[in-house]
Amino acid sequence: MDDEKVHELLGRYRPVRPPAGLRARALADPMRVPRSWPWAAAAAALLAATVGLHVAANRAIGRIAPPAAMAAEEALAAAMGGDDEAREAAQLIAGEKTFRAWLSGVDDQAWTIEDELNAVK
Amino acid sequence: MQSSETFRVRSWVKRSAMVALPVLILLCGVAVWDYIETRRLTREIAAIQARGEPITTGPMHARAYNKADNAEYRYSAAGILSLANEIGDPTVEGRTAMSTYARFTPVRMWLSGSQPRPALADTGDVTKTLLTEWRDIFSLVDRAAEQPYYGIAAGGEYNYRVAGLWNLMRLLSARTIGFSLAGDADAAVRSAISSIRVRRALRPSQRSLSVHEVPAVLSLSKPSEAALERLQTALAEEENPDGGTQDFIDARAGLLNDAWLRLYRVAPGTQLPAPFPGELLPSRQMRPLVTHELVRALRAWSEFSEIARKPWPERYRLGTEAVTRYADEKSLPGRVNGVAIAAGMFYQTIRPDVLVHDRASRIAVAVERYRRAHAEALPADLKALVPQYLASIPEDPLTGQPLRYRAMPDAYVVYSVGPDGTDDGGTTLRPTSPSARDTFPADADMGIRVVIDER
Repeated sequence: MDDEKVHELLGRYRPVRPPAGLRARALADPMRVPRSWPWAAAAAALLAATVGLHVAANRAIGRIAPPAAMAAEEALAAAMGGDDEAREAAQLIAGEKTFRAWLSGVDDQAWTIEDELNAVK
Repeated sequence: MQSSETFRVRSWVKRSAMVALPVLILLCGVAVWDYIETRRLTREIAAIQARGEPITTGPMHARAYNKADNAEYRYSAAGILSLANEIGDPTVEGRTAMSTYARFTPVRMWLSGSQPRPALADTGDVTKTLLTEWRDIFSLVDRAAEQPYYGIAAGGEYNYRVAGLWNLMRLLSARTIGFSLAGDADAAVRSAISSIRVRRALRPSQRSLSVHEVPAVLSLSKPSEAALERLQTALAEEENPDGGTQDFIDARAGLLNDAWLRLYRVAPGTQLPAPFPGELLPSRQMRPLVTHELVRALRAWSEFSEIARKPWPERYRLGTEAVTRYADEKSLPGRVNGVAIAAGMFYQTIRPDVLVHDRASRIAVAVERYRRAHAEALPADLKALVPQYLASIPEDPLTGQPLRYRAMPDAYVVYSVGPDGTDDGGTTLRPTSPSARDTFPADADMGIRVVIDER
């Protein structure tokens, strides 16, 4: 193919005009297109409310759920002599009991004589 | 180029937020619910504290531990020893607490009037073996009986502890009947007093056994006047018509103690629950659900506590009505029904049978003292005992009237009319601890029977 043929071939085509709406779209306000902030703000507000309410509820529980286990621990330490070594041992014993209770999920404090009887039967 | 990057980031943020929002709406809804339930719980707890009632078992534990002369130590030690001391081969008859106790069951049944008189030939050997093989345990329990008692101690495995106490009660029952049969009346009285006092180590709602053997002592032996007076004093000291009420309130403290630890994860040393809101995720353990159930239980508990403070017999009448009303309480499938637990414990607390048994026993000892002073003649009625042998006639907790008494040719009975409110003459007495295996009619009276021609 020589140059003339190439020119002839090119002469058959003309570039088309860009679509009519392209100019308008290209020149439009770029901020209006994604508009993500209301969604993000809503999610953040919900998250903050969830965490806030949870913290508030936890603090309320913290105020009413006082030193039950600690009192038992101190009492145990007193029974073991009340010195530093006894306190340390009582802390270990109470901690282990708590951990075992948590692991087993068994409420041995609520086990009654009737339960004993039923178990025997 | 920069604009294109911003566009992509913003689109990603928007898509992420749109996905996260439904989850966050759900979580936030549960958090609101959790907060509301927690506030309700806070109000319930404040009301309990305003009444001066405990919300933890800490004070009880401290009270039990900080007293060196507490009988609790010896009861615990004896109970544990009795479990460890199931001597030799437990299948050999007479070698365990239970089998030893069972050897005397025919005697107990005969004394209650439900079986004919058994042959009593070999009971002496059983008693000798009992005294030898369980010597250390009896020594601990008898010494504990002389000490003050400040309540249950913390720690330990409660179920094993109760099992140990049951062993002690069986052994003491066997020993008391054994001494009575052997005619060693004053030793029988000492054993009966030990038996009466060991009940202090059990919560009142769990005293379902007839653990003191006053009918056996009075039917089978002839204690001295001094021993009878000691027995009567011990019965009066241990009688506690409001023990069940305190027990019910203490049981709630135990429940709450457990709730702080298990439901709210308030561990020793850290008074705030875990910070991550895992308990807000939908599950059976979801905290607001659990708190809702706990508040429901606490409200029922408060209503029951009010009733438990009423005097007998109103306490029993209102209590049975309340328990019936709560009988159909429903909870979510697969969940613990806190109200049903409260109702069940409350019913145990207002049972009048142990109180009836205590009071009837005290009257029977007074009758026995009267007989001593009147050539073995029985009093015509209980008024004859007042004021020399009794300050006043103890009331039937089911009627508010004095307990009943009836002399028969071979025995006398001191009894309550029972839950049906009908006086059946004390001819059939319900056992103190009815079980499914008992064949006593539901309308039977309730009390004790003393045989008068066996000594």
